[in-house]
Amino acid sequence: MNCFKLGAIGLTVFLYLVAGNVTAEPPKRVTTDGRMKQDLCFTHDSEELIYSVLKTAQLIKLQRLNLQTSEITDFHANASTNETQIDFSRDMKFYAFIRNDGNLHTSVQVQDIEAGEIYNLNPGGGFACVRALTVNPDGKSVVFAFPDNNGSQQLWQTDIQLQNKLAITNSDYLDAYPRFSPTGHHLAFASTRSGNFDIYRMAADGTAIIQLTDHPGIDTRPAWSPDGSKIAYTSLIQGNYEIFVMDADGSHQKQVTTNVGKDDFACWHPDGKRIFYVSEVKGKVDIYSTFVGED
Amino acid sequence: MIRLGEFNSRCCDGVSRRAFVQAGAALPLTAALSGAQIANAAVNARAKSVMFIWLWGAPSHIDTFDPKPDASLDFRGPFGTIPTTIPGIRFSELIPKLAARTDKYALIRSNVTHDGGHPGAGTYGYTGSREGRGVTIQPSWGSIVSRHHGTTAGLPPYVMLSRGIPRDVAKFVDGYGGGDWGKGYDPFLIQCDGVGKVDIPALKLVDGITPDRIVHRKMLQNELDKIKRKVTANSFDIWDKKSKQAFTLLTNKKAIESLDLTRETVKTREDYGQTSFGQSLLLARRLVESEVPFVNVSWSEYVEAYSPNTDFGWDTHVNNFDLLPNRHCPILDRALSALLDDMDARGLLDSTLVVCMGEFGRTPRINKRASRDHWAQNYFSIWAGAGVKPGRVIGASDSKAEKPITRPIEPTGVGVTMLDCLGIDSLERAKLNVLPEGEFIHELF
Repeated sequence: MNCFKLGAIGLTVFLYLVAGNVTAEPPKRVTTDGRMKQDLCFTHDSEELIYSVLKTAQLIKLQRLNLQTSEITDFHANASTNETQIDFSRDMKFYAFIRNDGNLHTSVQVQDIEAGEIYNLNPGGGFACVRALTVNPDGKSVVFAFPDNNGSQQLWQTDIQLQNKLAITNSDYLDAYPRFSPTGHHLAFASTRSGNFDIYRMAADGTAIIQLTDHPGIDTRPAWSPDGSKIAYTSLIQGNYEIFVMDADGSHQKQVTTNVGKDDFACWHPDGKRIFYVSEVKGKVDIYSTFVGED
Repeated sequence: MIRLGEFNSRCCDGVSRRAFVQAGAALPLTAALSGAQIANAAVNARAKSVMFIWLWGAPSHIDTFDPKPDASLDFRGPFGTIPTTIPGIRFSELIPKLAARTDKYALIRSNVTHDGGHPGAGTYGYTGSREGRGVTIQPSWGSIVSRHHGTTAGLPPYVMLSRGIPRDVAKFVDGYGGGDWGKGYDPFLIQCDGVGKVDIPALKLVDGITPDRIVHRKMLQNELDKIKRKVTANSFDIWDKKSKQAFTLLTNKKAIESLDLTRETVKTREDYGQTSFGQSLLLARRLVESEVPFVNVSWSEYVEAYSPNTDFGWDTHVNNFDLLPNRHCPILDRALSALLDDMDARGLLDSTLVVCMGEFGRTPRINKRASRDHWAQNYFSIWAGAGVKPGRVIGASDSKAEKPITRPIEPTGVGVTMLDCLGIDSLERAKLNVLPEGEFIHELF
């Protein structure tokens, strides 16, 4: 290979990195057990990463990873049924999660940590599953996705005691994966309003809906950066799931991961500089982190 | 003389055959075929083994292999489509690896069945006949092979790789095994977890012997030593047939090696994925390499997609549009693609018929729970190897994937085709008094 070709390749790589399409540092592997994982969530004191993992062939458990010691423990040691999708209020006084409490049935549970109270929302009898939830950082409300009995799926809001259920979307489509912004004033979510899953945002009361992505593949699972200026999300492009980041108004969409396997479930570290996500590498599913540098 | 029945089918070379068989007491139902008969059947066989991959719980056909991008959103769902290697044929975006490998297999889009419930459709899918009160349960495909071929090289002829006998939370599938032939023709159950640890439940039936998980050869030898000491102390005769089969298997070097996934390269194991389904497919490949004639890999023990103490089957009455992209399709896409690549690279597709399907499809119209229910009127199956011409789609469904617009392919046809490829043709089946109905799927070859 001559010097000209080497130089051209080097320049191409340099421009690619400078353009912000990928991060310069390789992703860091955070877990190593290879089990299926999803639904990452940091505690607001930045000390722990909570996620759900296929612990046995028949059980998904919430686990906590201490970022200082790397110790991994069960979040609910005695849980005997599937638990997923945990989220915390900013003051860490409340957390909510989804519990598989029956045959093809899940409920929302809220734990009031200080009071020791547990609130439960049964979405309905028979086959009925809550899809995904988010806790308002102010600790006053919960929003989750649930079908509205006609084939579409809405976002619903309750107070933190899971009372006063109210639909905050009213679409003929599938609205899913809601995420409160750090201020609690906005929600990002995925919806099929455009014909396939794209990312949208709206005011927390369900008004002022704006489409943020418009791409023929799946765009899903939005995650706000801690300062609310950016949103990470998963996009299925050319047959592979990758993590993207965009500004909170939908502009400057950039691909963050380039792994040949599935990258999904992005979650911002509270420092705002790193994204943790689930990645399938060589057949193993683990949590990785990567820096998301400035342009 | 007892009339056993009328058998309408086609043999593998496409020649229509009508065999009207009468048999007398000279062929009692429990009689095994002679070695010469098996040898003759083997001459006609185009496959040494069948790998029957069972997507238990029933995957949505419209969200995977038979998308309808021009249908309204309440039918087509939220997923996009991608091209395959077959011009004009598109799959869901959820299965890109399989879409890129259509040159390795044929797809049938016109399967139908006659029972909309899991146990009943499971029995149809395993036997070609119905279950119900007062109905004699027919032997399953693997049990027929088991009886016809007998045990070779210490390996059971019908191996089921699954966490357990297929079931839903309410009941087991009646037709998983020997049916009215008895449990002697039931499958030999082997469990394989996500890291390739192998368990043999039959060994646990022996009091005091707990082989647990057998990963390394050294560990296996230790377990065998324990068993031998136990056998010395107790009577071998107290063991039932499955326990004896397990012991025989584990004292056979070739059999032991076939169960040892650590003999595979790291890359091969990675390619299949660290999932129970992926590693089970790899184990199935090793078993057909060892010439086990019928290997059934079940996606799960339970149909339920998301229920306590079950193992995440394809029964997505809820969460269909979450579970398919998040979990089920990525696992299937990786593992089945790896199997097809691996089988192809090793030349095993020349001697193995691979069939992958569920017990039915799912409602093309999205249900009130924003998901999909059972749909017996139309589903898909994947066929590779043993002379199946790859790169083709057989049959077609209507514009909403509600029903076939071409010849419906029934479970009996699936069974006849699998058995015929193993040399158990209509004459052999008549001798065994099984599967009097069913049309060989000649379009595949």
